[in-house]
Amino acid sequence: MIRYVCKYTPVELFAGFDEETALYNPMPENLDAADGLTHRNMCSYSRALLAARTGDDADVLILTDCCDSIRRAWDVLRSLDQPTEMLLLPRRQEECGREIYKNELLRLLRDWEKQTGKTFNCRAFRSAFNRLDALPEGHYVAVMGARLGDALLEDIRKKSPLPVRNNTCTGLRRLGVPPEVDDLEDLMDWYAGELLAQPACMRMTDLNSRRALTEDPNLRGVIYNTVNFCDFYGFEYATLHDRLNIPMVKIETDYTSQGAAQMSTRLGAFYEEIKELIKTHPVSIRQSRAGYYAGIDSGSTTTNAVILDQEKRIISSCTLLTGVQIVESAQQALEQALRKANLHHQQISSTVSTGYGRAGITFRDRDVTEITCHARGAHFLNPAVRTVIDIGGQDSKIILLNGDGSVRDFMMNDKCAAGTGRFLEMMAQSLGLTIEEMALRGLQARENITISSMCSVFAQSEVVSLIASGKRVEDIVQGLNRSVAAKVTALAGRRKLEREWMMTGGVARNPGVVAAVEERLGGNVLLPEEPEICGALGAALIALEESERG
Amino acid sequence: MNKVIEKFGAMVGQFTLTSPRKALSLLKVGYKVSSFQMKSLPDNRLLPSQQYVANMNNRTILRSLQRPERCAMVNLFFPCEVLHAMHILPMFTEGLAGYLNGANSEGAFIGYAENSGVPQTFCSYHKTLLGAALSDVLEPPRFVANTSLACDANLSTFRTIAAHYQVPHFVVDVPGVCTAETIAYVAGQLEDVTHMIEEVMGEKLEEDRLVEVMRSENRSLRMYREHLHLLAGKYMPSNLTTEMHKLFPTHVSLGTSEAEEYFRLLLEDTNAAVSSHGETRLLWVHTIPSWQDSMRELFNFNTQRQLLACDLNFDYVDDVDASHPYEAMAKRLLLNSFNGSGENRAVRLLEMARELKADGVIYFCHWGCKQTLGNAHLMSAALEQAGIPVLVLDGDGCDRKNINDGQMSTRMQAFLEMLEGRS
Repeated sequence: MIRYVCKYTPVELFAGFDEETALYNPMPENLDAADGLTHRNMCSYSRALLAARTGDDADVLILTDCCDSIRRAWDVLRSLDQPTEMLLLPRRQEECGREIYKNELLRLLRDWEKQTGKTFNCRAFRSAFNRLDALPEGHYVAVMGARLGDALLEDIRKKSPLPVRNNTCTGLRRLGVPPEVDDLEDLMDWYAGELLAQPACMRMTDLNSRRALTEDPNLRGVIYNTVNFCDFYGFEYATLHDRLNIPMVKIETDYTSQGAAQMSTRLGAFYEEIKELIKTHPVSIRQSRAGYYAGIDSGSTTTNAVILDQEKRIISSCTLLTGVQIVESAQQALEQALRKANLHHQQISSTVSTGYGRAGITFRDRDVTEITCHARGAHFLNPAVRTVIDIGGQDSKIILLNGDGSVRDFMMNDKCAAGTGRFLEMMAQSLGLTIEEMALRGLQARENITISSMCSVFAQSEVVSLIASGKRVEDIVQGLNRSVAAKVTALAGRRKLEREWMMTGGVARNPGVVAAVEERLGGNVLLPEEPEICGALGAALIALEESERG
Repeated sequence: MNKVIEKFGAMVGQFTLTSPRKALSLLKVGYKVSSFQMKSLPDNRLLPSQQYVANMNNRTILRSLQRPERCAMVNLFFPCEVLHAMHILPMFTEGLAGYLNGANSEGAFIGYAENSGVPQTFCSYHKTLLGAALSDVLEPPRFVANTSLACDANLSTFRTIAAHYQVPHFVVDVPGVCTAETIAYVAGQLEDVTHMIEEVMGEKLEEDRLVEVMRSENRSLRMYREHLHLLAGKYMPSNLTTEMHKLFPTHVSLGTSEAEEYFRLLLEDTNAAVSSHGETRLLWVHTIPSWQDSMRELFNFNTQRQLLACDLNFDYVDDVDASHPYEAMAKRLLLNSFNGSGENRAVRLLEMARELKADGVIYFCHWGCKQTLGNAHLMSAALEQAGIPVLVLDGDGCDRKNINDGQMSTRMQAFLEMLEGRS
């Protein structure tokens, strides 16, 4: 078996030698095995490749000279005496590049003949061109950007409300039928041209062929994938984000299962947008039994429950620490809320769960992402709200709302803790304060201190240095609050954050952070009485409204 | 950091968002003041060649900011001989980003770039240049041209900048191996980019001028090789900034009379330098965080330590064949030690470590540079096998916000103590 990594690899040429080929897309459990071989800040795919090859090196691996990370991975593999071939892939697709690649294909062909003693079979080569998978017809969702693992693609295919096309860098391999020419050089010239004419990868010089990928009238949504530390595709995403007027969500994969929860929230919110777009409501809700509706927000730090009556009045709510047992915390939160309102389980007509743990809550009728729920809750609390700034324990989000409370766009922080409640907790620890003390100390700041490090680990050592240099704790705290405000508002990029702004999530109870956010926005933000329950409130509202719709 | 520069950087940052023109004017004033200061109150600890190159580079940056209509945006490795022959002013990533860092204003530009969608994991020199362009603080250059050497960041950065300004753009693709075929491929592209430049500028390249530029380049390189040869037995006081300043004459300014004058002074200084006296002699891999106080304290003008060179400054120092300019430029790119397999860079580093009698190597893993990061393990293993101690140091050559200063200085100091304890 010959393994390859890139769509520009001449796999049909190997068919001419009766060799089987397969795309190498390993997703090891973790990338620890790569740590001794390369730097941690290399592209995750190249690290996954090295980690996987250390345990599976029998097959020949064909690489292309496609990027810095693969070139460096090649250096490592050669040092390990792995059977690896590197193809010189030009970046220019016009005549001069085609000539270079034609000669590279001829070199490969002759080298392979020499290495294996086999003769190149032109008929087998030609017949390899007919193995094209049919593309889904009609409306579809495209996965674009960098390569992604097979398991994740399968999951997307399973959950997407519309058929999915794999338009990532390795999913776009489509070639024509070879002409009837006798001369091998002419045939390889055609083949080089055909390979280089595929929809361009971002490392090529001419990207015009990529336009067709987003100009298809049947395209209804885009899941844009980037690989951690592969920078090529982030640039295209930024351009498409400004240009495309269909739902689009960005995910970042690191070729391990880490970060899966956050990705499922993003993807879940995207599927909800697509469902809304195609006007289907495949929700089965139990018919009204007694006229109360529950929303449960199972967050990473707290679990919140809200109970509404049929008039959309908040009858009761409860906030608990999540702990390790997600379902039990959700049950307890709901029970306490029921107890407060003097109700019992049977009186709840429908329960919608949201938050990280939403899918694990077994007694839910439906789960909806916290993006949609926060938007719904904020709109209910004040219909003038157009921007929700939600700073939670482990992530932060900006949600832009339409006038009817639906989601216009949203942005989430990456896996880093900067700009979240967790960041403030870590800093409180360094300062020897409780989180409650810290919330108050920031307001007593006198000096404007800038915490320059965005990374929590670096910021922690910066805080220690500031203490050592005799700075006041109050000033340091407000510097940290400003750093959180800067990180969160920066999520919006160049998008305008329209008034009214509402802050939700536990950190909205911290007056220092609120002041810092207001300073950045240049005006006052709206604060709900209980900012933690906004997501659960939205979930309860969705339960009620969908129940009414039947 | 100097309080005035701190304040200056904050003002540039403020204007970047509200009034890009004011930010640019402020930067120009800043570099003019700096030029005046260097002439009227020169730092006497610097050797004549070091004072000269600081002045020369300041002029190069200022000219490109003052005359955008004669300016081309390029990368460090782009062969600028044609530009010099046509009196076009190159503005390059590491140079401009370094100067913006010197004005304490890189943070604002990096922030702007990241908010515009540039990945956080991207090289910070490139993010700084992108931020300065996308915020419109920099005025549009006449055209953008870059090579694929030495890193992928060039492709994304210059494409984005050209699209933003809507100016012509040319990429010179440099394959990883040097053969007759790849020389012809690269030379052909260099001729094409020359035609593009002629068309954009509405001027013809005078071939004689190009040959003269290349002859000057050869004279410069001959003096530089002589300097490197003599340096093996010499101690020359220096600072980290000077080694970064050298990137101008060894790359984009190579072929100009100013660069030639620099190499003449450098050779004079080397001849006049004292003999090596048992100081710790170090080579540096990749760029240098010359702005970082903790690193400056360990190296600048230290009589017991000699920073010999960074490997970007000896990536290709051989003569070029001025009678075949395009092939010569192509060869210079293809045979550059940063091109192709990591082994090429390792071999060159080992060769120079031996020639310059280095006691140790600092392998600087600049944030976002996959080209360098990916080689850290293999290169340090190769050097250690040859008996040369290596410190692999993670950091950021340009972004003040992206480092753990305490950890870096502890590691560097411990490495120096280790080396110095041996003697």
